[in-house]
Amino acid sequence: MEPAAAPGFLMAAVQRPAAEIEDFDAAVRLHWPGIFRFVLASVRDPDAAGSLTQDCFLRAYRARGRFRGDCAVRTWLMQIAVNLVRDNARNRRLQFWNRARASAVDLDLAGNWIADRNLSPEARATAKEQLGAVWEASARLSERQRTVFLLRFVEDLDLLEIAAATGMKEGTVKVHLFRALRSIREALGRPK
Amino acid sequence: MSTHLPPEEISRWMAGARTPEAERHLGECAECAAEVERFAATLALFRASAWEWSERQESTRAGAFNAAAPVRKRFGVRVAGWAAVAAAVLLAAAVPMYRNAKTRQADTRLLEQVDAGVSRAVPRPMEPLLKLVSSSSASSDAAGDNNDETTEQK
Repeated sequence: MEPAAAPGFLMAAVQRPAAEIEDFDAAVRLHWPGIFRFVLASVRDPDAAGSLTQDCFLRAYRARGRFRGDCAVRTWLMQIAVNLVRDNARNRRLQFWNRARASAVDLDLAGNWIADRNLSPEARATAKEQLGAVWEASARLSERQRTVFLLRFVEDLDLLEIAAATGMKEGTVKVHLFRALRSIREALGRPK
Repeated sequence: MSTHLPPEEISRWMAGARTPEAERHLGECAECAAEVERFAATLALFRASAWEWSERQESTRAGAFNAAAPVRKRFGVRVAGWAAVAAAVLLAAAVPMYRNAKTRQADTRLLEQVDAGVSRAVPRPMEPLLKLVSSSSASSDAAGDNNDETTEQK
């Protein structure tokens, strides 16, 4: 019957996130790259990023029974990842190494990546310089600014998704994002 | 266009706080629109580099998560924990035993030295003198024997 089909369809749509987590292997395959990417860009250490991503999915696996589908699975996983990155950043021993890496490793990374592109030497030099400036500036951002910046401009989350993943209000997300962008622009040599 | 968007307005625009005035201005001012485009292009470059770096790193870690892995890990951790506890217990038992054995050896050596010291007739520095005395007394004894012989012969 046509009328009965609509509520069923709506119900399925509402339950979809919770159903998605039931096939946990599929959820891992789907969301692992994004979580790993966000964590890697945040901590800038491939080994630590691997461990934290593993930890993120382990926590999600243990808590999957409590996931009610109030938000998208990706947002829920990102919420766990944001907390793990925050806890990791609070580890003072790692902070030192993170700061040391931020200035050296990322510039090498940027250089290698740009070298692979089919660009003129001038364009390559400019791109490398700009990319290095953004990586460096993002390392100097406050933890919250960096998190919202990476979620917005690396993971393409919208403001509401970022608010859900970080537990901030949408307005707060906008403020942190604005401050992050202002710092990035300053690092690029553009007026604030 | 005589005035452009204030620099902060461009950051605000990129952050998602978009006012109708800014939108209208960007539609009319090619310079400001180009500035927004340049900034967006730089951020896109950053995004692409983050994705590529992540993909390169990730390729070495593909299939890293296995739902069964935590159980094996916990089991492994538990075994390692018990092994560490056993090693600590053995060490705790062995160290006093080793120390006792060493103490006993040291005590024995000390007692031997004390025995040697007590049984010594004279202090160590005087031992050479004692030897001299012994040898002279031996020779005098021998001489005495000779004397006795001569006496008897007499």
